[in-house]
Amino acid sequence: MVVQVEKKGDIVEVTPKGDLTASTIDELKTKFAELADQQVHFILLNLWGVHFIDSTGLNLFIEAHKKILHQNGRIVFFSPSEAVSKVFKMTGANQKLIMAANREEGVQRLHD
Amino acid sequence: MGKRLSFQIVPTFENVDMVRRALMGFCRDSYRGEDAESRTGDLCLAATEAMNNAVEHSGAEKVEIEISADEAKVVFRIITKGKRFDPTVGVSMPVLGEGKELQEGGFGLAIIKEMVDSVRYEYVRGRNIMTLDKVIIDGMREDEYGI
Repeated sequence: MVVQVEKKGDIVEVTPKGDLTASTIDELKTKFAELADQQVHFILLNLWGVHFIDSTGLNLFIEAHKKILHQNGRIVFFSPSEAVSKVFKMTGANQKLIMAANREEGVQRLHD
Repeated sequence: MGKRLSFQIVPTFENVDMVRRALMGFCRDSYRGEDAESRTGDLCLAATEAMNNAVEHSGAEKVEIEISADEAKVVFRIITKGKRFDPTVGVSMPVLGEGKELQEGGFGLAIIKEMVDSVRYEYVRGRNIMTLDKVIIDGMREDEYGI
Protein backbone atom coordinates (compact mmCIF):
# COMPACT_ATOMS: atom_id res chain seq x y z
CA MET A 1 0.00 0.00 0.00
CA VAL A 2 1.36 3.37 -1.05
CA VAL A 3 -0.42 6.53 0.07
CA GLN A 4 0.09 9.85 -1.72
CA VAL A 5 -0.95 13.09 -0.03
CA GLU A 6 -1.34 16.36 -1.90
CA LYS A 7 -2.44 19.66 -0.35
CA LYS A 8 -4.39 22.16 -2.46
CA GLY A 9 -5.44 25.16 -0.38
CA ASP A 10 -7.62 23.93 2.47
CA ILE A 11 -8.25 20.61 0.74
CA VAL A 12 -6.02 17.55 1.05
CA GLU A 13 -6.26 14.83 -1.57
CA VAL A 14 -5.27 11.39 -0.34
CA THR A 15 -4.61 8.65 -2.89
CA PRO A 16 -4.03 5.14 -1.58
CA LYS A 17 -2.79 2.60 -4.12
CA GLY A 18 -2.92 -1.16 -3.63
CA ASP A 19 -5.05 -3.60 -1.69
CA LEU A 20 -6.63 -2.17 1.44
CA THR A 21 -6.72 -5.01 3.95
CA ALA A 22 -5.93 -5.75 7.57
CA SER A 23 -2.23 -6.21 6.75
CA THR A 24 -1.87 -2.97 4.77
CA ILE A 25 -4.20 -0.59 6.55
CA ASP A 26 -1.72 1.00 8.96
CA GLU A 27 -0.20 3.29 6.32
CA LEU A 28 -3.54 4.93 5.56
CA LYS A 29 -4.62 4.94 9.20
CA THR A 30 -1.42 6.82 10.08
CA LYS A 31 -2.01 9.37 7.31
CA PHE A 32 -5.54 10.04 8.58
CA ALA A 33 -4.17 10.53 12.11
CA GLU A 34 -1.51 12.95 10.85
CA LEU A 35 -4.12 14.97 8.93
CA ALA A 36 -6.31 15.12 12.03
CA ASP A 37 -3.33 16.40 14.05
CA GLN A 38 -2.80 19.07 11.39
CA GLN A 39 -6.45 20.17 11.76
CA VAL A 40 -7.25 19.26 8.15
CA HIS A 41 -11.02 19.37 7.76
CA PHE A 42 -11.54 18.73 4.06
CA ILE A 43 -10.24 15.51 2.56
CA LEU A 44 -10.74 14.09 -0.92
CA LEU A 45 -10.05 10.38 -0.94
CA ASN A 46 -9.18 9.19 -4.42
CA LEU A 47 -10.04 5.49 -4.64
CA TRP A 48 -9.17 4.70 -8.25
CA GLY A 49 -6.01 2.84 -7.18
CA VAL A 50 -7.69 0.58 -4.61
CA HIS A 51 -8.71 -2.62 -6.33
CA PHE A 52 -9.44 -4.72 -3.29
CA ILE A 53 -10.93 -3.74 0.04
CA ASP A 54 -12.10 -5.87 2.95
CA SER A 55 -14.23 -4.98 5.97
CA THR A 56 -11.15 -3.66 7.79
CA GLY A 57 -10.71 -1.05 5.07
CA LEU A 58 -14.40 -0.23 5.08
CA ASN A 59 -14.34 0.24 8.86
CA LEU A 60 -11.40 2.64 8.55
CA PHE A 61 -13.38 4.74 6.05
CA ILE A 62 -16.45 4.81 8.30
CA GLU A 63 -14.30 5.76 11.30
CA ALA A 64 -12.56 8.54 9.33
CA HIS A 65 -15.91 9.86 8.07
CA LYS A 66 -17.40 9.99 11.57
CA LYS A 67 -14.33 11.62 13.13
CA ILE A 68 -14.03 14.38 10.55
CA LEU A 69 -17.77 15.03 10.59
CA HIS A 70 -17.52 15.46 14.35
CA GLN A 71 -14.92 18.20 13.71
CA ASN A 72 -17.25 19.94 11.25
CA GLY A 73 -15.19 18.71 8.34
CA ARG A 74 -15.85 16.39 5.42
CA ILE A 75 -14.26 13.50 3.64
CA VAL A 76 -15.46 12.74 0.12
CA PHE A 77 -14.74 9.39 -1.49
CA PHE A 78 -14.36 9.59 -5.27
CA SER A 79 -13.56 7.45 -8.32
CA PRO A 80 -14.06 4.11 -6.55
CA SER A 81 -13.02 1.02 -8.48
CA GLU A 82 -15.65 -1.58 -9.29
CA ALA A 83 -14.55 -3.77 -6.37
CA VAL A 84 -14.74 -0.91 -3.89
CA SER A 85 -18.13 0.22 -5.22
CA LYS A 86 -19.46 -3.29 -4.79
CA VAL A 87 -18.48 -3.39 -1.09
CA PHE A 88 -19.91 0.09 -0.49
CA LYS A 89 -23.23 -0.83 -2.14
CA MET A 90 -23.51 -4.24 -0.51
CA THR A 91 -23.05 -2.81 2.97
CA GLY A 92 -25.08 0.35 2.34
CA ALA A 93 -22.03 2.47 3.18
CA ASN A 94 -22.50 4.37 -0.11
CA GLN A 95 -25.69 5.85 1.37
CA LYS A 96 -23.87 7.12 4.45
CA LEU A 97 -20.42 8.12 3.25
CA ILE A 98 -20.12 11.15 0.97
CA MET A 99 -19.48 9.79 -2.51
CA ALA A 100 -18.53 11.41 -5.81
CA ALA A 101 -17.95 10.05 -9.28
CA ASN A 102 -14.83 12.13 -9.90
CA ARG A 103 -12.55 14.81 -8.42
CA GLU A 104 -14.59 17.76 -9.76
CA GLU A 105 -17.78 16.46 -8.21
CA GLY A 106 -15.83 15.61 -5.07
CA VAL A 107 -14.68 19.22 -4.64
CA GLN A 108 -18.28 20.38 -5.05
CA ARG A 109 -19.51 17.91 -2.47
CA LEU A 110 -16.89 19.05 0.03
CA HIS A 111 -18.55 22.46 0.06
CA ASP A 112 -22.22 21.41 -0.31
CA MET B 1 -10.73 -34.52 -12.42
CA GLY B 2 -10.86 -31.52 -10.07
CA LYS B 3 -8.02 -29.22 -9.09
CA ARG B 4 -6.84 -28.80 -5.53
CA LEU B 5 -4.47 -26.64 -3.49
CA SER B 6 -3.79 -26.82 0.23
CA PHE B 7 -1.79 -24.72 2.69
CA GLN B 8 -1.02 -24.67 6.35
CA ILE B 9 -0.35 -21.13 7.54
CA VAL B 10 0.45 -19.29 10.72
CA PRO B 11 -2.59 -17.05 11.26
CA THR B 12 -1.29 -13.59 10.38
CA PHE B 13 -2.83 -10.92 8.17
CA GLU B 14 0.23 -11.06 5.89
CA ASN B 15 -0.46 -14.74 5.28
CA VAL B 16 -4.11 -13.93 4.57
CA ASP B 17 -2.88 -11.74 1.70
CA MET B 18 -0.62 -14.52 0.45
CA VAL B 19 -3.46 -17.05 0.41
CA ARG B 20 -5.78 -14.55 -1.30
CA ARG B 21 -3.27 -14.07 -4.12
CA ALA B 22 -3.04 -17.83 -4.56
CA LEU B 23 -6.84 -18.12 -4.55
CA MET B 24 -7.09 -15.36 -7.13
CA GLY B 25 -4.82 -17.25 -9.51
CA PHE B 26 -6.73 -20.45 -8.86
CA CYS B 27 -10.08 -18.77 -9.56
CA ARG B 28 -8.82 -17.15 -12.77
CA ASP B 29 -7.95 -20.63 -14.02
CA SER B 30 -11.37 -21.95 -13.00
CA TYR B 31 -14.01 -19.32 -13.72
CA ARG B 32 -14.95 -18.48 -17.27
CA GLY B 33 -17.29 -16.14 -19.04
CA GLU B 34 -17.77 -12.41 -18.81
CA ASP B 35 -18.38 -12.36 -15.05
CA ALA B 36 -15.34 -14.51 -14.23
CA GLU B 37 -13.42 -11.57 -12.76
CA SER B 38 -16.42 -10.56 -10.64
CA ARG B 39 -16.82 -14.11 -9.30
CA THR B 40 -13.10 -14.25 -8.55
CA GLY B 41 -13.36 -11.00 -6.60
CA ASP B 42 -16.42 -12.20 -4.68
CA LEU B 43 -14.80 -15.43 -3.52
CA CYS B 44 -11.50 -13.70 -2.71
CA LEU B 45 -13.35 -11.15 -0.56
CA ALA B 46 -15.34 -13.83 1.28
CA ALA B 47 -12.22 -15.93 1.82
CA THR B 48 -10.32 -12.89 3.12
CA GLU B 49 -13.06 -12.16 5.65
CA ALA B 50 -13.13 -15.81 6.76
CA MET B 51 -9.35 -15.85 7.20
CA ASN B 52 -9.35 -12.49 9.01
CA ASN B 53 -11.90 -13.97 11.38
CA ALA B 54 -9.63 -16.96 12.03
CA VAL B 55 -6.64 -14.68 12.65
CA GLU B 56 -8.58 -12.54 15.10
CA HIS B 57 -10.74 -15.06 16.92
CA SER B 58 -9.65 -18.68 16.47
CA GLY B 59 -6.69 -18.64 18.84
CA ALA B 60 -5.27 -21.45 16.70
CA GLU B 61 -1.52 -21.78 16.11
CA LYS B 62 -2.04 -23.02 12.56
CA VAL B 63 -4.80 -22.62 10.00
CA GLU B 64 -5.37 -25.14 7.24
CA ILE B 65 -6.65 -23.90 3.89
CA GLU B 66 -8.01 -26.08 1.10
CA ILE B 67 -8.98 -24.73 -2.30
CA SER B 68 -10.56 -27.01 -4.85
CA ALA B 69 -12.59 -26.81 -8.02
CA ASP B 70 -14.58 -29.04 -10.28
CA GLU B 71 -16.64 -28.15 -13.33
CA ALA B 72 -19.40 -26.59 -11.24
CA LYS B 73 -17.84 -24.64 -8.39
CA VAL B 74 -14.76 -23.41 -6.57
CA VAL B 75 -14.64 -24.41 -2.91
CA PHE B 76 -12.64 -22.59 -0.22
CA ARG B 77 -12.29 -24.39 3.09
CA ILE B 78 -10.72 -23.04 6.25
CA ILE B 79 -9.95 -25.36 9.17
CA THR B 80 -8.86 -24.50 12.69
CA LYS B 81 -8.32 -26.79 15.66
CA GLY B 82 -9.81 -25.86 18.98
CA LYS B 83 -13.09 -25.29 20.75
CA ARG B 84 -16.29 -25.27 18.74
CA PHE B 85 -16.87 -21.86 17.20
CA ASP B 86 -19.58 -21.40 14.57
CA PRO B 87 -19.12 -17.94 13.08
CA THR B 88 -22.06 -18.32 10.71
CA VAL B 89 -24.80 -18.32 13.34
CA GLY B 90 -27.00 -15.28 13.63
CA VAL B 91 -25.17 -13.20 11.07
CA SER B 92 -26.99 -10.50 9.15
CA MET B 93 -25.80 -7.44 7.28
CA PRO B 94 -25.79 -4.36 9.51
CA VAL B 95 -28.59 -2.05 8.41
CA LEU B 96 -27.40 1.30 7.17
CA GLY B 97 -30.63 2.62 5.76
CA GLU B 98 -32.18 6.03 6.25
CA GLY B 99 -32.21 7.13 9.86
CA LYS B 100 -29.82 4.41 10.96
CA GLU B 101 -26.56 5.19 12.71
CA LEU B 102 -23.46 4.45 10.68
CA GLN B 103 -21.71 1.73 12.62
CA GLU B 104 -18.18 0.41 12.50
CA GLY B 105 -17.60 -3.31 12.56
CA GLY B 106 -19.85 -6.30 12.09
CA PHE B 107 -19.50 -6.46 8.33
CA GLY B 108 -17.06 -9.35 7.89
CA LEU B 109 -19.29 -12.38 8.29
CA ALA B 110 -22.23 -10.63 6.68
CA ILE B 111 -20.07 -9.95 3.61
CA ILE B 112 -19.15 -13.64 3.43
CA LYS B 113 -22.80 -14.61 3.23
CA GLU B 114 -23.48 -12.05 0.52
CA MET B 115 -20.48 -12.96 -1.63
CA VAL B 116 -20.75 -16.73 -1.97
CA ASP B 117 -23.45 -19.20 -2.97
CA SER B 118 -23.12 -21.36 0.10
CA VAL B 119 -21.54 -21.10 3.57
CA ARG B 120 -21.31 -24.24 5.68
CA TYR B 121 -19.90 -24.90 9.14
CA GLU B 122 -19.01 -28.27 10.66
CA TYR B 123 -17.24 -29.29 13.86
CA VAL B 124 -15.49 -32.59 13.31
CA ARG B 125 -13.10 -34.23 15.82
CA GLY B 126 -12.01 -30.95 17.38
CA ARG B 127 -11.72 -29.12 14.07
CA ASN B 128 -13.82 -26.11 13.02
CA ILE B 129 -14.43 -26.38 9.28
CA MET B 130 -15.93 -23.48 7.35
CA THR B 131 -16.67 -24.10 3.68
CA LEU B 132 -17.44 -21.45 1.09
CA ASP B 133 -18.75 -22.37 -2.37
CA LYS B 134 -18.93 -20.12 -5.41
CA VAL B 135 -20.49 -21.60 -8.52
CA ILE B 136 -18.71 -21.26 -11.83
CA ILE B 137 -21.67 -20.68 -14.12
CA ASP B 138 -24.38 -18.21 -13.16
CA GLY B 139 -27.92 -19.55 -12.97
CA MET B 140 -26.98 -23.07 -11.89
CA ARG B 141 -29.43 -24.58 -9.47
CA GLU B 142 -28.24 -26.04 -6.20
CA ASP B 143 -29.13 -29.58 -7.29
CA GLU B 144 -27.02 -29.07 -10.42
CA TYR B 145 -23.86 -28.02 -8.67
CA GLY B 146 -24.23 -30.40 -5.79
CA ILE B 147 -24.24 -28.03 -2.80
